[in-house]
Formats: sequence, C-alpha cells, structure tokens
Amino acid sequence: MRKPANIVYGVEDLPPLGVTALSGVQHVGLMSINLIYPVLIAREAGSSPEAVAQIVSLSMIVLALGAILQALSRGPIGSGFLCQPVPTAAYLVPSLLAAREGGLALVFGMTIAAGLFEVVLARGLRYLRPWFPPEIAGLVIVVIGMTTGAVGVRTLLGIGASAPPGTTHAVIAVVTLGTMVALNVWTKGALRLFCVLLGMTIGYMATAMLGGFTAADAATISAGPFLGLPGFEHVSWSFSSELVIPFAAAAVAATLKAAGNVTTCQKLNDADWKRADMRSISGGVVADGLATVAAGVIGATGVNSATMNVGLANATGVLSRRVAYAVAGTLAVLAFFPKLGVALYLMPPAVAGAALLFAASFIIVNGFEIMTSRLLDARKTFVIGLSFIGALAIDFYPAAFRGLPIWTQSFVGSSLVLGTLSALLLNMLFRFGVRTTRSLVVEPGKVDAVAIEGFMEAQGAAWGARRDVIDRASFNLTQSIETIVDGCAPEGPLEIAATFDEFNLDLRVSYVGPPLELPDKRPSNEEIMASEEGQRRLAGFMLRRYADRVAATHKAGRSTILFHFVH
Amino acid sequence: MRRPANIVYGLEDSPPPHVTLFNGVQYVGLIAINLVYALLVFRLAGTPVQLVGSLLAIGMLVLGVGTFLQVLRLGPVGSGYMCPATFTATYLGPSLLAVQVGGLPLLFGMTVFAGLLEVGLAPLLNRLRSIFPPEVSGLVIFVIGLSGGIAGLRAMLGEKALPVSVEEWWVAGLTLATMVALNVWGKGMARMLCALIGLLIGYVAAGFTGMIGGRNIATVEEAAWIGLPAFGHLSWSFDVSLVVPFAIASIAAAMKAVGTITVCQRMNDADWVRPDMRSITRGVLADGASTALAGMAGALGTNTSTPAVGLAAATGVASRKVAYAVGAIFLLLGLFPKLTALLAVMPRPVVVASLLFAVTFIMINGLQVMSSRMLDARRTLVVGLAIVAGTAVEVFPTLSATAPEAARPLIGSSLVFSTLIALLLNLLFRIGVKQTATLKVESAPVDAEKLEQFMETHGATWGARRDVIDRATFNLAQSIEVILDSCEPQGPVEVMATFDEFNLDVRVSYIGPPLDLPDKRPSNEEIMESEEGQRRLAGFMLRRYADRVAATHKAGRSTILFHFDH
Repeated sequence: MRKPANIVYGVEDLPPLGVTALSGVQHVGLMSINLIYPVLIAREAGSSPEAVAQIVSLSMIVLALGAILQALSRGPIGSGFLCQPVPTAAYLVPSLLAAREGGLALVFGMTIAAGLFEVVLARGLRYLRPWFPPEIAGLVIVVIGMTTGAVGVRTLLGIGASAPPGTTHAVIAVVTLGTMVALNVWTKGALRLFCVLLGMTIGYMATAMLGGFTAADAATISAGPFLGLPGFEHVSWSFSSELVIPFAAAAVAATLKAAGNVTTCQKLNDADWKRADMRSISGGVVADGLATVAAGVIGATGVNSATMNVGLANATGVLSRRVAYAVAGTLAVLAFFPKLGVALYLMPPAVAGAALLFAASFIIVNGFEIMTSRLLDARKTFVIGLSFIGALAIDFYPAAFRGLPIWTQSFVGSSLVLGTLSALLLNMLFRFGVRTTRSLVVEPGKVDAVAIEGFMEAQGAAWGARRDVIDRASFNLTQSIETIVDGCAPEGPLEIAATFDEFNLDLRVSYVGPPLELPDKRPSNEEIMASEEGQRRLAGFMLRRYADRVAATHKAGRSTILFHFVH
Repeated sequence: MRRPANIVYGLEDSPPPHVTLFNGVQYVGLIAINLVYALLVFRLAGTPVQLVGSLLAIGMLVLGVGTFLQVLRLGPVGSGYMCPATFTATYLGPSLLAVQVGGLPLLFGMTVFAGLLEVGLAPLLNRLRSIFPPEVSGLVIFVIGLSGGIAGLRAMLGEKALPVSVEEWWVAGLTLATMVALNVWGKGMARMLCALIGLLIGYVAAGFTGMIGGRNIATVEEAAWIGLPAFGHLSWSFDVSLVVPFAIASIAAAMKAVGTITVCQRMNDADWVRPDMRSITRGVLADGASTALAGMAGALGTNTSTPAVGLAAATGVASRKVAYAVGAIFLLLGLFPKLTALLAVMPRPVVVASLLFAVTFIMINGLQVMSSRMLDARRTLVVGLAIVAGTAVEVFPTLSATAPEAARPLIGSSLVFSTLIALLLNLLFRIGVKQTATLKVESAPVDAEKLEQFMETHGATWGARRDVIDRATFNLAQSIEVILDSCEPQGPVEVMATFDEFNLDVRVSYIGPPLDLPDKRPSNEEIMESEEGQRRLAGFMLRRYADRVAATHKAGRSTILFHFDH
C-alpha cells in the first residue's frame, strides 16, 4: 500500500491531537445535516418535542458507535477505514411509511430487520456483483433521489398541512436554498463544504426575523434542560410483514452504497490500487448493517455510510483512523445536549424542504452518472427506462395500483421496491443471449477504423463495459492492427477476439506472420536504424503503453497478441 | 463528398425499384408507431372515433408532405437528405395541454405558431448552442420522455380514467413484452419492426378478450376503403398562456433536426469533418414548415425521425429515392379510411404500451446527452434542481393552482418548468466561470496526476466533453514529458488552457529551443544524425492527438498550441 501524493495522513498514520480533534468536529458538522431525516420521521409519527430530542440524541450515539465499528480493522466487523455512517435518505421513505402505519415502534422494529438483512447481504456480496451492475445501482440511487425530492417539495409547500404556506414561508425557502446554492457554486474551502449547514442556520435566522417562530416554540426550547441523558421512553418495537419488502430494498441500496464508499476509501489510501479488496468491503457492510440494527434497538432511524464525509476526508487529505474516534467522541458529547434536538424539532418546514431539495439534486445526478458510467445498449435502456417509469407510476398514481391482486401489493407499494425489483428481473432476463466472446475478421488490405470502433462500441454496450476502458481498448485495437498490417506483412486476414467478464477485457489479435515484439523499453536509435525489426519493436513499445498487460505468442507460423485491460 | 465503405446506396444513387420500395415500407413501419402520439392527443380532446380516423389520415398526408419537403430542396427549404418526418414526443406534452385548455382549434393554432417559430429560429441556430449546452438539452430530452411517459400512464391510470381491468394489464404487458423481446433478441426485420409487430399482437390480444367492442368494430366496417379525409371541421385559435410550452418544444425540435441532419451528413460523407451549417439551416426550415403545415391541415407538430436515419446507417441505404418512396407511401396510406379507422379504435392498453416503449429510448437518450459533458457542482445543481422541479409539477398537480395567476402557465407543465429552471440557473451560474486556466510545471519528473486533475477540474467547470478533455490531458502529459526530455527548458513550463463552446486550446510555453511538429515521420537517417531528428520524431507523434497544432518561437520562448475541436 503506497500513500498517494495528496494524502497527508493515511489510514494508519497518527495525526497530532489538534488536527484529529478539528477534523472530528468538521466531520460532525457535515454529518449533522442528515439529522433532518430522523426529525422528519419522528414528526410524521406525531412525536412530542421531547421525544424528537431524544431520537436526535440517540441517533448521535448510534452514529458514534457506527463510526467506531467501521474503523475496526480486525475480525469480521469493520472495514478499518474512516467511513462513518449518517442517517440516510435510503430509509427515509420506508420509515415515513412505517411511521404512518404503526408509529415509531414499527419504524424501530423494521429498522432492526433491515440492518440484519444488510449483515446477511454482506456475506454474499462477492456473488451479488453480476446481479447489481452499475446501471441498477445508479437507478436505485436516482429513485431514492426522486422520492427524497418529492418529500422535500411536500415539506416545502406544506402539502397536506392545515394552513397553506404564505409569503413568509416562500421567502424563507428561497433564502435557505439560495444560500446553499450560492455558497456551493461561488465559494471555496470551508464555506463551500458547510454550505448546507450555513444555509440551514440562515434559514433559522430568517424565520426568527420574520416572526416564523411562535412564543410556544420559544417556550419549548427554554423548557428543556441544558444537559441531560437521552431517555428511552419512546422506544418499543413492532413488526409488519407488509413493510418487509420496502425495507429490504432500502437495505440493498444501503449495502451498495456502503460497498461503494469502502471501495473509495481503499482507492484513496492506496496509490497502487488495482481492484477491490472484498474482505474489507464485506467487513464494512457488516459494520454498516450493525449500526442500523443498533439504531433500531435503541430507538433511532436507519443509517448508512456517508459519501459526503469520504469526500471531505479526501479533500482535506486526513484519512486517519484516529479521526473516526474523534468523530465518535464529539457525537457522544453532543448527545447530552437535548436542546439541540429540540432546536432541530422546531426546524421550519421551509428550511427542511430546502435542505431536502438540495440533497436530492446531488443524489439524482450522482445516480445518473453511475448509470451512464457504463455503455448502454437497448437491453440496458429497457432495464433502466421501464423500471424508472414503473417506479414513477407508483409515486404519481398510487391509487391505480390498488386494483391489483393482493399478493402483488407489497411489490407495488413503493417506487423504490418496484424500481429495484423490476430492474433486477429485467437484467437477469436480458442476460440471456449475451455472448462473452465476440470475433471480427479484418482483411489487411481494407482496414476500416470506423468499423473496428463500431465493433468495440456495440460489444462494449452489450456487455455494459465501462466507457473509458472501451475507448482505450478501441484505440489500442486500431493502432495495433495498423502496426501489424504495416510492419508484419500478415498473410490472410487478421482475426480479432474480444472477451469480457466483469473484471477483465481481453483482446486477442492473431494472424499468420512474424510476431510483433512488445518490448518493455524503447529500443535504442541504433536498433531502430539497424533493421526492420528495430522499427517494429518501436511500434510494439508504443502499443504496450495503452493496455494494462500484453503478451505475444507465436505458434506454427501464427502470431497472437493478447491485450489485457483491467475493468 | 466520398462515399463511406458501409453505405451501399449513397444519397445520389438510384437503387433498383424493389429495393427502394422495400426500404420505403420499412421506414414507414418504423415511423408509423409514432401515430400513437396523435391518437393520444385526439382521444384526450374527446374527439369522436370517426373524426379521429379522419385526423389520422390527415396526419399521414402531412408526414408524406414533410418527408418530401425535407428531400426536395425547394428554394431555401429542405436539406436534400433522406430524413423522414414523424410525429414526436416533443410536442406531446404541450399538445395535451392545448386540447385541455381550448380543444382541437387551439392545438392546431399553437402548432402553426410552433412551426413558424422553428422557421424563424433556423438562421439563429449557432447561437442556440451556447444557451442550450448539452446538459440542458439533455435535460429537456429527458423531461420530454418523462412527461410523455407520465401522460401515457395518466391515460390509463389517472384519476379521471376508467379503472384498469385485469385483462387490460395483460394486453398492455403482452404488447410491451413483444416489442421489448423482439428488440432485444430479434434480428433483422423482426427487430426493426418490433414496435409495429407488438402493436399487431396487442390488437389481436385485445380482439380475443373482447376489448375492442362492437361499436368500434362497426366504425371500422362503416369506413370506406378509399377516400379523402375531411378537412371541413378545421378551425384555429391562439392562447398566449401556451406560447412558452410550444416555444420550448419548437426549440427542442429544431435542435433535434440539427442533430439528425448532422448524422445524415456524416453518414453520406467519409471525409466529413464538421457540420455544414447551410444544409442544416435548410433542413430546420423544412422541419418547421412541416410543423406549420401540420397545424394548418389539422395534425400534431412533426420532427425529423432519428430512428429512421439510424436505420439508414444500419442498412446502408441512404438514397434520396427512398425518401420519395416513404413520402409517396404515406400519401397513399392517407387515402384508406378503413386503415385509419382501425388505428383510431386502438385499445387503451396497446396505446399505453407503445408509448412507454417509445419514451424509454427518449429518456435514456436524454441521460446520455446530459452525461456526455463533465458535470461539476454547478451543472449538478442545474440538472438536479430542474428535475426535482419537473417531478414536483407531476407529483403535485395542484401546485400551479397555488401560484400567482401570471406564473401559472410556466408551472403548469413539467417540461416548461424544468426547462426554465435549467435555463435560468445555467445563465446565473455562468457568473464567475473563467474561460482560461493556467498551470506551471517546474521540472522533471512530471506529476501526471496533477496535470490530470488540472484538466479534469477545469473541464468540469467548463462543461467540456469528456472525450475531448481525455484526449487533451493525454496530449498534455505526453508533450510536457517530451519537452522536458528533449528541449531542456529553462525555468518552468507554463500551461494555459482556454475554452469556449467550440474550441479547446492548450498552449504550452517554455524558454528553450522550439519543438518541431512535422507532418511526416522523419526518416531514420534524420533520427540518427542529430538530436534534432529525435525531437522531430517525438513532435510527429504528438501531432496525432490534437486536431491542429502550431509552434512559435519568440525571444527565446517557445510556445506550442494544441487545438481540439469541441
């Protein structure tokens, strides 16, 4: 493991205490934005301000525990990285559903089930990868983003609330969202990093100035104690089989995200990173699941690994495991200030809605980018497109699906579930008939670069390969064919075989003629001059640079070159 | 103009009559599926079935005339390419809005307006590109697909619709499954005409389950075999509140026409380098004229058909003669009232399935256009907030009722609201984007990662195309390595990257002897004889990655310019 240039403190390094503590506080500041999710869920269940404050405090304790679990580097639990959890949008919609159906007890019970399911999934991750190609992971993220956005709009506009929102409300929303956007677009450093937190603070201030807080609100906040232990009076558990599928789908989404974040951590810490280390990923997902179980047990809502914080760690260059303990310490201390929870409970809908809209924008576009990181052919287009429309149909026309038979109800109850399931099924179905090896024959006299590129493009799309790998391979292929035709005088056609699985792309070019040598070092000028051979070596040297590995064999007059690309 | 290897019959060639006819039928089969857009709009307007049949016949005549307008080159109108006209999802949303507000007269009136606007836009096309960067036009395409899909679902699932029976779910499922399965696993004709075959199977299934109904069968039986559609009922009206939705659709149609005609140019010319704006302008004029004509005759707005051009690329038949055949077949089909009556009674699940099939491709295409550019936080917010806004309109249809009177037309449609948000944010966020970025590289060894990060960050801020940035990055790393190796620069190497929507220029300057960038590989003797020869070899290699290179040397300072077309 070699530390990359831009990383100041790697995972094993021990930064000075001052740096550790400051980084911890910074992370907690960023994480606190997501406390909006437990607050929204608790409000949906009609909880009292005190209960909400307790849930916020308990959430912080769960997050502290989660950060430590994740940082464990031995045993089956924990990835060993600084990759702490936060309350997540993935569990938001299922939890809102549970809160409506059976109050907080059902939320907590189902959260335990979801966490356990994530732990089980962690063990089978290695085998799950072909079933969850990036376009499906991306789709799941987009649907989560869309539903979060819809919740944001509902909160913002007060749809379903007793009184319709007035002008004050609109002003606060615009100020809050405007601050977030402006800080994100036009500032740098800390201002940009904490744009959401600052936006929300300004939203609170605007509400106070415009008289959005009532005397009762002020009384609520001054009534509570300044310091206090979080209580557990609100905690009880129940279970409903109807909600198993929505929570399971959210657990799948959480698993995919945790696995993705741990992979990012591996890459950030290792300049020579080649492929994912499944052990640490699996440990990381187990820790993520256990944190969600803990949340359900002590009375908080589902959590998931935080992408924003991994980004923060990367931006500051402090990846040390020690920071995880600082994060946990800071959260544990904050958990004993109930006023913080009450303040969050009083969050004006306009502020909460604006924060949700902001978060949803990033979630949606992130999902789009993951989807389109692979080439998309007609199959993948249907997998994504039809699942997406199906998911939206549920959000837009919930009533229409009530006529369907009873056994289908748990599948069509939530957009996340229908979207995920339909994508999984279609993906499995369309895997029929995709060949992993394709071949192409090129006549030496008629090298058509466009046709070769088209071949690679079409195959890459059918396999769902990464665009950059296919581009590189395609360039390599046209260049090598040109070189072979020029320098090796092949007899008869060149045969090209392209083979793909999720981890490798191999191109084999074979022809009858002298082998193309692929030297490690640039041949000396004398060599180039002395013979034809030398020139061919120069071309071979150039080709070697594009592929991740090359090998050439020569048997019975037939030469074969293998170009290997890591995928 | 040199014919590419894979084109069998070029634009000017005359294929044998049977090939021409066969291809014509194929294109018509491909395009005919889009008649469901028109059908959906007329249904929503509550038009009686007999009249729908007549209107569909008019629609076919319009498509025929539109195809001829595009290929004939009458005066300033028409690109001359085989680029058939089709009904389009682009006008679906605004048209549905129009029939709800003011019935068919308003639909026809607004369609005339949209067509005239497109005609007016044709000379200004180049300017549109910077107002509508790909992430915005990708978003517009995506929302067109999205709102089209939702409109289809509303026809089947919406609150005002009749409850959906189990049989209808089955017929819709079967229709969609046939289309998808043929597209995924079919080959040749079966794959190309998958939508049409799925439609037929949907009709058969609906017939078996008795969904078509006696009254509808009677309507088809009553219709004459041959006859002219009736034009007598036509009237037109105009409503200011619908100007924005139709204007946005019109711009989207113009941009799509630009794209399709560019594909035609590239397909027909192996030496194609950049779009020929002259034929594009003519093509957009024809496209707009066809839409204006559609409004006058009583049809929906039309647009160039991308799938048809894609099919031409696949079969290698791009002859102008085929366009004549397509036009003629449409004109002919418009004269069979029985056929259009049959289309007019299309059962609801078949309509919805066809619509979903079509919009799936539109949505994913939009996604791909969006992500063809690198997205930084600004662009993420432009796209993300616009999509959330569009979704909000669809999820909470009551939204527009709460808005002030003047703003209602802008919030009433997801397409309009999304597009406006994206346009405004895009303009706003341009503040503070520098078009030039500089970097100093001190000495060997070159930190390739730093160079990559430099190009990556600025590429994302500019919203440049990913492939161009990748190419420029590779070129930059290589050229700096070569310069450090062989030119012995004194002091740091300075890199300056400048971007506008059409060009990416990377200037590398340093104090030292110039790097020669020869057109031809230097001979082996040259390489051997001197240092100079080796440097020339390296320069020759570098030249290949950029679209244009230039080197200057002034007062001891050498500057190399690498230009990339964008």
